[in-house]
Amino acid sequence: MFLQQLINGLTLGSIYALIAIGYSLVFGVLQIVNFANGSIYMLGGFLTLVLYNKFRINFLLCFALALIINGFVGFCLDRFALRHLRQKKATKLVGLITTMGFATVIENFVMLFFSNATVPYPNKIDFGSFSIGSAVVSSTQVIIFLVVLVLLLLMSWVVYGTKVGKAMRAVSQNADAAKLMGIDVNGVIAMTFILSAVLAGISGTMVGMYYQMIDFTSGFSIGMKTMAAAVLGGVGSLPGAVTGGLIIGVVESLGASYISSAYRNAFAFAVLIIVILFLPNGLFGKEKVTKV
Amino acid sequence: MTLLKVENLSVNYGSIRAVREISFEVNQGEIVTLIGSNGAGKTTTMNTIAGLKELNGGKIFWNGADATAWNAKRKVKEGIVLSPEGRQVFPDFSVYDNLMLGGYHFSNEENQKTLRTVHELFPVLEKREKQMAGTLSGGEQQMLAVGRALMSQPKLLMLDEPSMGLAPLIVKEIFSLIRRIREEMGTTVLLVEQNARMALKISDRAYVLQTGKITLEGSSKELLQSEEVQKAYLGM
Repeated sequence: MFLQQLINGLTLGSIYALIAIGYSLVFGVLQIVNFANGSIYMLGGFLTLVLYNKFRINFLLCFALALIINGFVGFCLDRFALRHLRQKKATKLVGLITTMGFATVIENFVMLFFSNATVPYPNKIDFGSFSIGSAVVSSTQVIIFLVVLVLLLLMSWVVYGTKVGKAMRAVSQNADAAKLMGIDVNGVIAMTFILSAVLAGISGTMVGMYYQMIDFTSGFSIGMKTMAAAVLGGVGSLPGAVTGGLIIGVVESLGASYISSAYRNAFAFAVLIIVILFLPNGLFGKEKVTKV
Repeated sequence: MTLLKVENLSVNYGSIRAVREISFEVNQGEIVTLIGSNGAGKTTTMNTIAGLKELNGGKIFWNGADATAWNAKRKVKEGIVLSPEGRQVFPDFSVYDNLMLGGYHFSNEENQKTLRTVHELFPVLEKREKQMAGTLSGGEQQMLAVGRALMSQPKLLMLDEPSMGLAPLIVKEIFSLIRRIREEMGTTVLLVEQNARMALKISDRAYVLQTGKITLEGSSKELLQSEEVQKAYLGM
């Protein structure tokens, strides 16, 4: 049973890692937590499903279309809300609350126009399963794990290997200095929101297929858990987000099966509280030195 | 030939007017300095010219063209480059990466060429190439900040308080390097300083800023002799 739960936990955790990266990227460039990330994740899952049910065309095509729309939604959050706040020099707290408001708008939109109940989700990556010892591994789990792995490699290439990534890291270290280098800071921030929304959309669709259901409230708990994962790893750190995601996924799976599945969501936060008590900056976070 | 012309520039911070209708110009090949005490509006003026801060009145001309509405990116591309107050290097990037960010808009080949010139001026930047900028000493960080600005291939190099917080010997070195930059690279320099004596010694012309207004202007030689300047800024 341990091995089985470990595999389930790693599958879940790898998806958490993907969403947590979105939090970390946005926090890196703006120093705010994007509370809409969970809702954008849920929206991505719904969009794929709704497009597929409506047009009955190739699932992958619907998936791709959903990601484009999702990326655009992420872009809108920054372009039409947060950018104005930046121009008006509003405090970070205002931005943070704005993302919460944006989350509410998305959830209500999905509830009104898509569905207010739990909807079944087709699993298009179910090609059977195989066993390792006593544990059963489904193709869904393998595919999710591989997709996440490829995306993580891709993301680390984007952030550490490209000019855009270098600009992103420059903005996160010192936005004004980045402007003086001639970097289009607003462009970089918009790009970051699009990236994190696309990652969230991919996760939303994959989790939909994994659980074979989705509902408009599902973004909230996953949003909170992945935020916990990002904080656990050290906000702003990509390796931290990945590690945090995996830890929370595994702890959640093990806790649910060995202790009680009723406390499923509580385990993630228990880990978070324990880590923050002893390592206030998270596992990979750097101690912040404020120079005068 | 006038490179930069600032006309009746006004800048507010909320309801406070930090810069009041100041006008000045910088000619091709000159070293011009703005001197003034804390809170006189020097940094605000520099940040506004660089496009970091929006202005509330007046106009900025660059090579005769109206540059008032240009954003920071456009300014850098046109050759108006600021090395900001407090150095503002990227602490978690290596010295090399910091310099390369200065050349963000240029090809790698071109950057390698500029880099050689920068290394000649600041040999320490080559020696410390792989070191994280955050771990450099204050003087080295200042050299990096200037070197990074030079990587943007400026036509006008704006230096905001390059001597801030540095030991006198290093201040001297930085100031002699500013002269070398003008002589060897032909770069026009606009300098903001609290260290008025040094700034006046290496510059051609100067403006004195006092609570947001220009109260005196003239050749640096004249100002060094002026009783008013001597009393207020040179401690004589």
